[in-house]
Amino acid sequence: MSPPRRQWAIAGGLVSLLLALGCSSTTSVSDSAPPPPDPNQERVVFVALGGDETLNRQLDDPLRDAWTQRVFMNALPRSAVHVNFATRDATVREGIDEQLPAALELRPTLATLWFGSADASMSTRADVFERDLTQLVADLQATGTRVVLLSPVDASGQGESDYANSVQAVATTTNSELVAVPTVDLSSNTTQAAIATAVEDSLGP
Amino acid sequence: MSWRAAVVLAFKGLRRRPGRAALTVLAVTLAASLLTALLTIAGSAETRVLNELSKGGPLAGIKVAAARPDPAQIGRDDARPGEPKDLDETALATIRSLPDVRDVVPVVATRLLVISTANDADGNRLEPFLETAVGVDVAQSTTLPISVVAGRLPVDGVLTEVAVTEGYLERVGLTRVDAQQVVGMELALGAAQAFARNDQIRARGRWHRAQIVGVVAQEAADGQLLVPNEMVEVAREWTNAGLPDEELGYDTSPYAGLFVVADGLDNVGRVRTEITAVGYSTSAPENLIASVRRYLHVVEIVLTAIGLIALVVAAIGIANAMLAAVRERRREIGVLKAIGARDRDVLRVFLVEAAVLGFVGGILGALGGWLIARAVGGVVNGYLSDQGLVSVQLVFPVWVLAGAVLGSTFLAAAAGTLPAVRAARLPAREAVGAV
Repeated sequence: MSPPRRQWAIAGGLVSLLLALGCSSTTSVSDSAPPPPDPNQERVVFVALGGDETLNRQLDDPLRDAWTQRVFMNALPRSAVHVNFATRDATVREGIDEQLPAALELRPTLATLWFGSADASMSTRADVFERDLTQLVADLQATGTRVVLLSPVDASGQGESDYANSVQAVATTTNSELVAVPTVDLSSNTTQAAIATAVEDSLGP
Repeated sequence: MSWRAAVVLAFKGLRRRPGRAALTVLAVTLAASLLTALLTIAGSAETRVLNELSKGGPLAGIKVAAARPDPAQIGRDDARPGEPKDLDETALATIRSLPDVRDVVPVVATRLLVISTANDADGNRLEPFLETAVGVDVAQSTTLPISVVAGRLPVDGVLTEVAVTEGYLERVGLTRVDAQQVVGMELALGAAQAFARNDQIRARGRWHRAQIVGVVAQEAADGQLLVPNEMVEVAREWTNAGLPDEELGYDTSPYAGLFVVADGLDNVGRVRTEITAVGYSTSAPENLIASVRRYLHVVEIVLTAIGLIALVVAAIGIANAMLAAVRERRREIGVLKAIGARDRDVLRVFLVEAAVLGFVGGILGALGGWLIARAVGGVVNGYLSDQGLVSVQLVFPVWVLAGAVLGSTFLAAAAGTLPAVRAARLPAREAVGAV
């Protein structure tokens, strides 16, 4: 290499080194942010209708531990919306009159229904209970809502009351899914978790 | 003699004493580097300081509250709003049509019950809490006083993304340095709706989940959650469909506030007065920004003076080198004149020689200043990053880079004028005879 060329090469090398130093010395603060969600993901609107069994006011932290909240937070996609329409001491008739209209306004895709205890206290006739529950399920299904019925069972797996047997009958006639709930203390987080798991299992993958 | 011939002769002159030429160019390079770096750093620092004052929004930004103005607070930077007053489409249109208003961005807000998966500072489950979610048109976020501390802003129209503020970090026992830790976490957000049953007021929540995608510093409105305005609108619709309960977020005002951008900082005061006349409370850091800008301008003048002193020293060096060149090249000047070169031709050769030194030094100086500013910026950003602060974006104004090159060239030519005139006025006989 001739001397002038060597000089140019050295000068070029120095400039490159300076440029590299300049570029490398700048710290870029780039944080890893989550990628945006899939806009085509199907939107799930989950409504829970029922009475005290669905309200779960007796829990210390019902907003996290109630079975409805567990299903919403663990079993459904992030884009899901959830409203618990259950009210204290609600009978299935009150479910039709008070909860159903408000629930239908949300155009639900998934609904859980758990009635029985208030009807038992009010001594609603089992056939009336069954008829009203059938109507409630049919009204929801008419809008394309997937319905999951919950009903307590005893140790032998049988419905523990006439109402429970009615729920099983409604599930059969309306082709709804039935979740058998073990009759244990509903104020226990373990029971709530078990109910949530049973509902999640009924929803499938 | 043509310009081309003058340039060729000037380069030949420079090549005759390459060491002296290199040293002279180095002096100019160092001076131009200093000036470029100082102006770049000062400009970037000014941008950063003003950005901090305006919280990332435009300097001429004005916050309009959904409230009447408090007469005792009018004109103050942080004016406290008076009685609540609905801010609706009519008010929005009126304010938008005011003179000197460049842009108006509506801000919506609602109260949400928040369930966090994070624990508090003691490691216990964080109690669910009511917090205000501020909804903005994310596409217009650059017009709003919002700066991203970690992660990113939610995507416009997406209902499953949320950004949180430093207030939220404090709630979960974190500081700005740990901001990245909350990015990716999930929140359950519930909009409450009051309803009556058996003569009692009860509430039910409309729940949805959202992932924290960023941590922001925001002054668009009071609230620890920043979300796309669609999310707030859906929640507001739910809450306002129930019984009126302000605790739960029931609010008749369609907008929680407006962010108005005046047409220039000088018009902020006038626009604020006009909005006050329409009947709404405003706040803007106009007085603070004006004071800070005055101080920053003084700093800029001092830094420019330091850089200019360095350039003048370099110019004196050029003059000295050129005077030496004239002394050494008396015979060449005499020969040029003997073969017909005029005084102005000789003047041109030496002026071009000086200008070339300044031009080369200016280019290298602009490059050097850019590198120095980047290096300083890297160190500063490393420190800011460690402190969890927003990094400085270095701005390289074209006028600074062009000014370094043109200024150095002009100054060098000016410094070379005296030696060039001296060379031009040298009588041919005396020049040749001096040999």
